[in-house]
Amino acid sequence: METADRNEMLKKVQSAEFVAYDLMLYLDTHPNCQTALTKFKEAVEKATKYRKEFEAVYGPLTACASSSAAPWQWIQDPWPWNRK
Amino acid sequence: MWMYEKKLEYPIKIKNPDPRMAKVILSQYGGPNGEMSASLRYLSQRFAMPDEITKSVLNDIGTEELAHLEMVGTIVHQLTRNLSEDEIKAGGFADYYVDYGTAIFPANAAGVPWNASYINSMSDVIANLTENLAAEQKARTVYDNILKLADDPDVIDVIKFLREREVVHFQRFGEALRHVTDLKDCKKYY
Repeated sequence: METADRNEMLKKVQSAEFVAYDLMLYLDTHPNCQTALTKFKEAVEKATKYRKEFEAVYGPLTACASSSAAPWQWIQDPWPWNRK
Repeated sequence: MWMYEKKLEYPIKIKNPDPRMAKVILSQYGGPNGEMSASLRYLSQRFAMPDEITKSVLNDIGTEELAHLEMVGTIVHQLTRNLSEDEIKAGGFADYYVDYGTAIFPANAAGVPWNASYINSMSDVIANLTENLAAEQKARTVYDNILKLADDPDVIDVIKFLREREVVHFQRFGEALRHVTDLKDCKKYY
């Protein structure tokens, strides 16, 4: 698949996880906010879905998600700091 | 512990090299108000935090700062790819290049290496949180200065994201400080 498609799919993971991370920081100082708790749960569900879709096509985002088949998938390019 | 996520917090795709801008942005990697200082400041201070709110704020903002350190390194890396000899000379990059090539070394824009005195970590929670509020504002100012010097939309977009996060962190540290002062003002019963 094209690099542009990969970037697009990764962007979905990044934006969903960003929402979750920002809500997490908010919840750290507002631990009793039910609205934020509900939104956090929704954000995490969305992020998990996009992450699974991405990993099915482009490989693992964490070493634990690497497949057991050789060669070891985790090391494969691109790494995040590479432009492509 | 930390497990690596093979992605950046925010996408970075810089098309055109610019060694002059790279040197300026390197300050947010290894400068006094940079992301290395921020992450190590918060992750070190968290051990002296008194309760759940302050521990989690320091831990989670410190963790995000590590992701920002990686982003700043990525910007500098992408701005210094495939540089020609002429670009190195014309871009004022020769003084950095002679020691480090195009590797990422934690230093400020003037080449001064990162130093632990850029951070503080004390057992006084109010001192720590007040320092962190100032640190976020200082980092925000550095990003403002970078935005004044930048002209590449690929760079500006990412710097704006990083700048905005400083504002959010300032807000969270402010809430943590108010929480701690409220606790300290409570009447004590023995």
